[in-house]
Amino acid sequence: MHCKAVRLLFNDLLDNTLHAGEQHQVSEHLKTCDSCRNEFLRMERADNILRGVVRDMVSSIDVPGTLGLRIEKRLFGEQRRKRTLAESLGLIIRKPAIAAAIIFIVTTAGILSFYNHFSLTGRQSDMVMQSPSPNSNMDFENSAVSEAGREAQTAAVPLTGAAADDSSEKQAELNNERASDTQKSIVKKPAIEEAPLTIAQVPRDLENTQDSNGKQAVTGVIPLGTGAAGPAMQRGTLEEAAAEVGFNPAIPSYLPGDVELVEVSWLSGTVHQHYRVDQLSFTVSQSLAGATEINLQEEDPEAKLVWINGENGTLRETSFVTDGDIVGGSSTLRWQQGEYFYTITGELPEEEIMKIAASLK
Amino acid sequence: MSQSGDKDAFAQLVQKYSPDAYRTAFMVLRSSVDAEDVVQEAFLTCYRKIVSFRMDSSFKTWLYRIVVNLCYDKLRKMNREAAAMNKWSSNLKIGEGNMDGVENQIDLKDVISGLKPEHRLVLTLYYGMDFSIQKVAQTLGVPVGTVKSRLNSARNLIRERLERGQEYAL
Repeated sequence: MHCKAVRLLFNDLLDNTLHAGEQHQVSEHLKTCDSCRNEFLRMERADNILRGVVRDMVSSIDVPGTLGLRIEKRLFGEQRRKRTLAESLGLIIRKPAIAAAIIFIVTTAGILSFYNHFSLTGRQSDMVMQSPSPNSNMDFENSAVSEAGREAQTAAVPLTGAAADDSSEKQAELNNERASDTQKSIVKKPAIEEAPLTIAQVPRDLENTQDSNGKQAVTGVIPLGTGAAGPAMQRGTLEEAAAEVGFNPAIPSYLPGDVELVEVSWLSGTVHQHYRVDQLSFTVSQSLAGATEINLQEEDPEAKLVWINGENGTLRETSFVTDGDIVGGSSTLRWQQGEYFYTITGELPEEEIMKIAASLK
Repeated sequence: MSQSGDKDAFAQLVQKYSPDAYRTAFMVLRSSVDAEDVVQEAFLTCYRKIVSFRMDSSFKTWLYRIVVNLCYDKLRKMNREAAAMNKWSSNLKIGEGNMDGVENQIDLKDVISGLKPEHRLVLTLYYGMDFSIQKVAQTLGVPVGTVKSRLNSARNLIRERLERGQEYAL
């Protein structure tokens, strides 16, 4: 293979898109041609710098801490409105028994309210004085329940008030929802549902109106905001990384030559260990595999299939050696082991990257 | 599970993918408001269509494809790129003025920011998000050759700037 033809393939070599035969030919040529090897190393350097700059730009973008919360609010808020409409029309039309039950409850509540207004006026005003919530619907409900139920709701009201302190926006939305949805305010609910609600609970709560109970409302909380914030790339020690991401990063017990760990960084739950000696560098990345199954073959169908500690992985190799010395090139190994997803990428030949991967503990 | 529109599963997808989707949109639009608009709209589109989503491509690829299309829509609609280019070109002029003999003053970030949005997208997905060439092509809906061409252009540009910097330094 002539120099001119080889150099035309350098970009493909960097992209890991050469066929095995071509890759072998280029590697063989680079072993013997200093000029091409130097040219490739210059290109590879530019590529590495470009990668570093882009990654730095991407990781330095501050993601709003409440982005996930706002997305969920918009998503489920929209669906909630749809469901409420569907329920208010569909349930009544399709299930006459429910319509009859609602009419019965409305009628009963009205009668009791009328009775309480004239016979329990003094007691009711005491209760309203104790309650920090001026919510008229709540007063209406209080008037419609039994003495025992009234005590339970009185206890529940301050909880609602506390929620308003913590998240006035959410509570305001909740109150507006209650005020606008008269059907819902009329249907009696267990007192436990008056406990502080999150935005995430609201759609669940309404979605389950048909068979709502206290347990469903409380256990349906999504831990919002805990993972939605996207902090910029952070750097520190392995211990600090472990504390941030919630797992102990695996450390390779085998390292080629005098390679040393030069930097630990983490971003969005992924820990990167950067190793280097002279011009040789590689990165070990680890993250929790999460709920979504990663299909490595699908993501990179042309990568070579390999086995690491009994697990299937994919390897992209562009490494080459001269007389046993590592000259340049890079490899990317990706695999999932247990609950973790690993990537090792850097200027390493296949055998070295495989040894490092197998030694991760 | 998420195919049935389960909220818990979808909430997990939001938490897992929204930060990087936002970063990708921001790299193209350079506006936090627009980037958030795009990401919110993308998840909304996914959520509405999750029932019809086929598992023969990953959710991530699907989401990013929607994000990319929305970014392009945004750029077209608001003609933001023209304004942004003016801003960046002024930055570039400052960078060039400071380049006389000092290599380390080359601000490669300005160079990248000054690229066309489609080039920035390729760089962001390939280098920033670790997508393979094939996956970048799939996400952008362009041939693999187009992705390679855009990558090579960026590499050549960076290399040229680096070598120019070295010449000045010498």
